[in-house]
Amino acid sequence: MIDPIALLSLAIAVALGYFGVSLWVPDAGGGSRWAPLLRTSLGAALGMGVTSCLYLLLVIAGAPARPVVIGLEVVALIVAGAGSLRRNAAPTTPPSITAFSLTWVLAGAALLMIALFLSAFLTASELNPQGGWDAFAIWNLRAHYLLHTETWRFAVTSQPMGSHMEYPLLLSSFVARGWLYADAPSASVPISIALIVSLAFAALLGSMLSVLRSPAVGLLAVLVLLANPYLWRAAPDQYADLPLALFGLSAAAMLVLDPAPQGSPRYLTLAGMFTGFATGTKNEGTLLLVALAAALLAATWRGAGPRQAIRRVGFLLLGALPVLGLSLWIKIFAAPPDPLVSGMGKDLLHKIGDAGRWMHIAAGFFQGLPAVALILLALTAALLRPRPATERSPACFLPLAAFAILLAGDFAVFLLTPDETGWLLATALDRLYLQLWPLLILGGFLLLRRPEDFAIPAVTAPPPKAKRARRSS
Amino acid sequence: MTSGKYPVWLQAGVCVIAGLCLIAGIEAYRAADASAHAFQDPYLINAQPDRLREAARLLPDKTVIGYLSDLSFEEAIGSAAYFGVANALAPRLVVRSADEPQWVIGNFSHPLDFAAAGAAHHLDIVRDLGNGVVIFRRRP
Repeated sequence: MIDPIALLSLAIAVALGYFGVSLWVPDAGGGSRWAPLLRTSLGAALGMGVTSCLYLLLVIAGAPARPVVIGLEVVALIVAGAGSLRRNAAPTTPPSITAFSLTWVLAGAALLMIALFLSAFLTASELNPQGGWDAFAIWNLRAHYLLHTETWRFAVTSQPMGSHMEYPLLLSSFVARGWLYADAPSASVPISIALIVSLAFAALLGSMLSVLRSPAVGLLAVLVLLANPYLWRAAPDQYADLPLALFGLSAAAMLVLDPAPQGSPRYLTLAGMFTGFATGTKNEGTLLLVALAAALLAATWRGAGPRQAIRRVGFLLLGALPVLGLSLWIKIFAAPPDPLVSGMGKDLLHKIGDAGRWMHIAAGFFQGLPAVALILLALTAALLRPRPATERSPACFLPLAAFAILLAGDFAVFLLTPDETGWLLATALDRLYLQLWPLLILGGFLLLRRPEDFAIPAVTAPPPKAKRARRSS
Repeated sequence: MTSGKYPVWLQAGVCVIAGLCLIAGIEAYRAADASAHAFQDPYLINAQPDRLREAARLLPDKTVIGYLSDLSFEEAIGSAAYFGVANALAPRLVVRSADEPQWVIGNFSHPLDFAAAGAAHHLDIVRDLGNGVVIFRRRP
């Protein structure tokens, strides 16, 4: 089912991303034993975004030939690999921490969960290699057009297609790149992409929290992440929401992993680059950029003042600019107008003033919540309890602030959309929650104590000298 | 890395949460597996490349192709049938109109007077490939 060439194309993208992350933020993850997994999962997101954009540019420029694409990527891989190995020559010593005694239980449970997830994914992909509706009606269909310079504009045509030809092109471009490697539009390429993205998604959350908090926290987070049943359906459906969520989580990772108190330009620009990839994946990516920028502005303003806040947001936007510019160029000069944007202004005041519409959407948002997964997160919070205020840095609040802004933004889109809200709630809401789910888990676990914080201090016997002294007195 | 001692309530709580997550995972696995078995390629998307192989050989490459069908786009099955053809004939752009393109692919769910269906859009039959697949060309 999974073509080795498809896997090779992904391996090159992930390796390129891994070396890119190692070069740009060599201290990401510090000396932790989880740092390689963290860099690999971040590398999956970076590699996917970079190679996809490079491929799209080559298609538009008229050079999407197989030797050109593969040659460029292999040369970039060799250069980045050599640079990264030279730079990472001196490894740092990992900090010694006291591990939670049941970390092995959590590791076993997480491995079992991932095995179940893989089994479900492979079965679903074998029986339905075409994926879900959006995969064959939008993402993979448009990938066919991106295989040739003569047809790339078909992917953004305004002809009647009954599809969203105004959507961004990053995912379709990545699928087309895989097909170019495989020399055929094989179903195994989008299946492999969905698989790698899903694994990177869980690995990134787990390794990031293992580095920032402890391995037990990282493993608990992976378990709660995978307790959301929608993830199990969305992955084999090959929907763009999962890559979008991976880019969002990667951007948030860069902001919370940043070790510099004043904000490192490298971490901030890489976070911006990930949000740029998100804008190139789905329209919701633009909302993610706004949410992360606003959350960063607010958190920094409160802690370090307006000047620092503007500086950090500036670096974030700088990182997003190249891909955002490419997406905007395609949107303005090639793609048809977005019916969502053009229809939002219609009956604007009526929609805002319609209390029934507010209630209907609020009820839909409430009913669509992933209840079981949320209850599990709440139980974990009740067990571990919040960290003391003195231990919480402003960065800990970033994911939750971004989550809240995104939720409010999604609600506003539902309120103002020209589409029928009942249909949208039924078809799009669980995908929106999937995009938000990792930010909620990350934010939650950053604000909770670790199991290690509850370690019982060892009782030491009083020194014998003192005992004797007391007896003699 | 060393292990310390922890309160029993914490160890029990962590085990319970891990267990509940696993139960949720098993439920998600069952639901995903049942759904995948119950709906195997429900719109026959994967059958279209073989069904349209001859049409793909005859139609001009990398161009805009019209689409004519007896299935309504208002129905999910009609839209799905269209996307199946659009994927199978890509990188040709199959548009939801039979009124402008020079070449039109007919995709029919049951036998009918294909010539009359084409004539309504000023199209002549080039080839009836069977199985509901018909190639039309615009009249000069």
